[in-house]
Amino acid sequence: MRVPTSERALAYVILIALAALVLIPVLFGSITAFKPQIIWVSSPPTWIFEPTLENFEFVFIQRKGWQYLRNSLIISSGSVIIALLLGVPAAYAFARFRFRGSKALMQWLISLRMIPPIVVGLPFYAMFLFLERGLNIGLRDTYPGLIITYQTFLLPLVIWMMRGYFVELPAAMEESAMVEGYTRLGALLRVVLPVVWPGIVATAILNFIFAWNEFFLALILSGNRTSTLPMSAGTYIVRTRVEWGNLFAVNLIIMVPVIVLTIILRRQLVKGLTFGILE
Amino acid sequence: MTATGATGRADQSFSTRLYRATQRYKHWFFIAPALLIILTVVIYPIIFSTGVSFFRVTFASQSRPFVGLQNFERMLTNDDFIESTFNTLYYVVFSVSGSFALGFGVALLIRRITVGKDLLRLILIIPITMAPIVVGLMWNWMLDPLFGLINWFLDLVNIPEQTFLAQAATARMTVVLVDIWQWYPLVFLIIEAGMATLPRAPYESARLEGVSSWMIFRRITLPLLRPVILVALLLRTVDAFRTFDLVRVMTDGGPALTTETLSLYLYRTAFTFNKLSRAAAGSILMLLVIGLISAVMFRYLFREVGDS
Amino acid sequence: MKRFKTLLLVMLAAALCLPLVGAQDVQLTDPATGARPFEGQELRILNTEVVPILAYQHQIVDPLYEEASGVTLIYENAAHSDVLPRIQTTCAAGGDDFDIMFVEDGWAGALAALGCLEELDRFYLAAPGDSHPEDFTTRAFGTVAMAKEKWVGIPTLVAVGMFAYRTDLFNDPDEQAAFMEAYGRDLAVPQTWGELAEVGAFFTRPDEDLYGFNYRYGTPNNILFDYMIHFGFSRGVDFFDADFNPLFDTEAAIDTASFFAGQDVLNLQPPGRESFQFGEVMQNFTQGKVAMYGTESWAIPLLLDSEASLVAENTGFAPIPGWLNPETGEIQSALLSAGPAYMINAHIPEERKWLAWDYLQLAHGVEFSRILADQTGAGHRISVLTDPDLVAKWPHLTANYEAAKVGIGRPAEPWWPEAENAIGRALQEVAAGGDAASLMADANNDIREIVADAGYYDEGITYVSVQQREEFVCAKLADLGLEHDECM
Repeated sequence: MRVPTSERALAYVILIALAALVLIPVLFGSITAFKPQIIWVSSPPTWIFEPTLENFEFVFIQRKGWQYLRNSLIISSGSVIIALLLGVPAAYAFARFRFRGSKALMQWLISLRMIPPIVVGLPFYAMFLFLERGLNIGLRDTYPGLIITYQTFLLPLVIWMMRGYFVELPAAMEESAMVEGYTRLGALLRVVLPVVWPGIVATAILNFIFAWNEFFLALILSGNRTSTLPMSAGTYIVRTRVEWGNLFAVNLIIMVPVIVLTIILRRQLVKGLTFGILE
Repeated sequence: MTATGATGRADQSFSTRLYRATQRYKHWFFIAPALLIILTVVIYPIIFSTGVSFFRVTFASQSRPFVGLQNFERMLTNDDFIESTFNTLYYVVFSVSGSFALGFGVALLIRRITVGKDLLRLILIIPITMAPIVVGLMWNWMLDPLFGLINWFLDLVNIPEQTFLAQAATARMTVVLVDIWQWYPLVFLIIEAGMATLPRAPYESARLEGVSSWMIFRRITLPLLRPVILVALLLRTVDAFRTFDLVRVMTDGGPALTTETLSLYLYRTAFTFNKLSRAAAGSILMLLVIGLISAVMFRYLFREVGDS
Repeated sequence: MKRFKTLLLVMLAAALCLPLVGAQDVQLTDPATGARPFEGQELRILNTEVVPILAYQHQIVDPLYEEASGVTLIYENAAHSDVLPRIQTTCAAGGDDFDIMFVEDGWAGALAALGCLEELDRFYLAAPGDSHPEDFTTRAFGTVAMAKEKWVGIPTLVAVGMFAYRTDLFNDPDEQAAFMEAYGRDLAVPQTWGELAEVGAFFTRPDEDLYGFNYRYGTPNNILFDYMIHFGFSRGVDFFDADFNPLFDTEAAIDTASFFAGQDVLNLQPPGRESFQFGEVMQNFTQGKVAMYGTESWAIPLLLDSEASLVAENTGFAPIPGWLNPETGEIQSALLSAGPAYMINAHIPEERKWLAWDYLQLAHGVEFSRILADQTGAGHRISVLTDPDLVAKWPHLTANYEAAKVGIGRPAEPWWPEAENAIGRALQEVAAGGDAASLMADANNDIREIVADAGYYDEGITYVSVQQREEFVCAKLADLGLEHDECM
């Protein structure tokens, strides 16, 4: 696609302005993580100071931030992988097969995401307690317990997003592959998935972010063994004040893994293998 | 019979009848595992809550008498519930349209640039990588009349300090703008990936015929993107309906209920006012409202490329 | 593991035999004798380090307990706003996620009714340890440690209203002279609302980024708290009358609302005050933007910490101003008190309850409280607040004690938060320029409905007044065989 220079210049101006709108508050906040307590907040803002790592030390060591980080990493990646394994085939079926009730089922699926989290907390807690006491299956305050419950909001989303990407593709693609001797599953794995790869990556990233920032279910169903990062962020909004330096130190710990993930996957995100309209 | 076994042999005309049967129901082999999980983890809480909403269950009593529809009646006649419903609709309309327009726009613009594309994409995605409570607090701080950066800038150009979050007139829109700031990257990500998977053939033939780029966008890109647009819109709508953390830390519903959202109000009803079953009834009413809205969106957007 | 189970079984058996064998057979951790009956066990505490004092307890008292007892303390540290949902969910389902939980004064009523707070009498009667429930003022104990007539907790913190001011401003000769010229009297820390408004106006200089004072108007809960703590009670406003009718539409209540949330007083505060919560108000003071600040006793350690406050060296404390009764010429003042206690989860096995009691009696007992107060200035037991050595080191303890004796607790009823919300909303609307009389009257009606809905008028359930709470405390202490000066 050839883009006129004026159009390109305009695109740059708008995008850079937006980037500034993102970067200014984020940087302004993030440098606080390196400020000593007395200048966390000041008027006028303090720009020049001697950076300190005491906030990170407090958050990471005294408040066991690394434990929260480990829990968050395990729970988020675990639940995203499970959601993709279960959700992608289902999404494919919804996109490719017309069967009675398929539309109703899809609509019903997205409505599942609408359940306010407060409604989910107590039933799950009660179920876990029942499983533990009645059947001796311990899920409270465990990784599998949280990974399963996270499917409530991840699985519908995976199915919905992936279905959107599958539907975009012409059905002729797998049909010709199947003529060449692939099974339906083989066609899905070898022919279709490589093409919708950017969609899978986008789905994975977004679901990771949702799992990463999930808060209410984690609060109710985790304990000191499985508490996640967002829960620890809340502890720096204390009654007396917001502990800005500690809060932004935690926030950096929350942001950096997702950003790293995005960097690793950035090529995949826009790599429309055979059909991309741009490259 | 397993899913792979059935579909694997289908091509070899194993038995015509069995083949037909498996062909007819083959979608279930793909859907069944996901559906099984969904049935256990999603339906159960809904049934539980629906059950709870017909009793008087509170966090302040061990007795749980059956009260029929009383909880629903109390919710529907409650001014705060009605007001927070309207607040929520306001959030949904402005936050969804705002984040969708911005996200879609960015997805279109970013294809037009070359140098620094990866870097810009990375920067623009930062807001969704942050925890909502941190985003809310960060903007509270930015907007603080005495210590915030915005008022510091205004001060430099001699504009008196503005108290956006303290005034009923501006608080709601301020929260909506912050919500847009955080969530437009989600639309951007979904749409951009959608564009990357578009088939190339229609574009090539259109270009050969000399169709203008605006017409290409309207006649090819938009229709092809429709399923992905539906996903982005639905997702934003549903999430905007559930806006909770951001409002809780920014205004906590104030000043005087002007920014209270439904999920904040239901949370308060359950955990602060102790009335669990009333909140459950409210949640079910909320589900009905969102269901209605998404049904409308379905009607207009759930038509695929192949449909006519 | 097996040994652990056997140990538990033995302890369970021992615990079951307790009522038979009598008090002297229960052993608690005792640093003096070196007794460590719970050595090697783990105790799970649901906590929130919402104010520095609670963090100090974690840093100072808990290691001392671990060392003395050989018990390992496992903390689940949640944000303050998340603690209650966590407890409610666990309790409603009968969960045993934690042995000890942090419970704010307003929550105990509902949680006790839900059946998840263990009564402490039998533990005390069997082995009192260092717990000394008589070492608190009756007002504080009734508010923080009791659920109606039941004793359920050991206070970890008693918060009372305090007033912080900038000593450098009040002692500045130039300011004093300017004030004398403007108002014809000496510049002094205000003792009445009228003086507060005057002194506040004097210090309100937006050009210099300085404002008179600062309160919290940002959430219904906060605005109500300050309205009642600092203004309402001194003016004679009460929550309810003897027949349990809400009193927020009385002339005194409406007057108070128009004053406290009125534009004259709001204009003496920094811009944005309508949305200020704890954090902003504290921040404005510690950054030197306000001359006076209505606060609570738990903020004192932070206000005196020069790493947290630019004006730490210049911060003084005084009682909150009162209301000058025009008829009697007296200054009436009243304070509200509040605070959390540690309580034992009723759904844990019996032997764990004894371990939990062991922690409460020692870690939050007299001796350890003294150590905590000595190091941090945080104290809430009478023995600490009146100790001459500690008072010499931390002068604010005396003001704390006086306040703890008269502090009035919020109703600890399950419906109270909803009522609080209704009245707080009305006050916020007054602050936004609404008409106080009609808004307060509407809120009063709402509260009547909320209370009726909770079954209080027709089901014969009664509301516990402040006086009744004190009677409950005295009766409880008498049951336990204890005497208290305030109960005479």
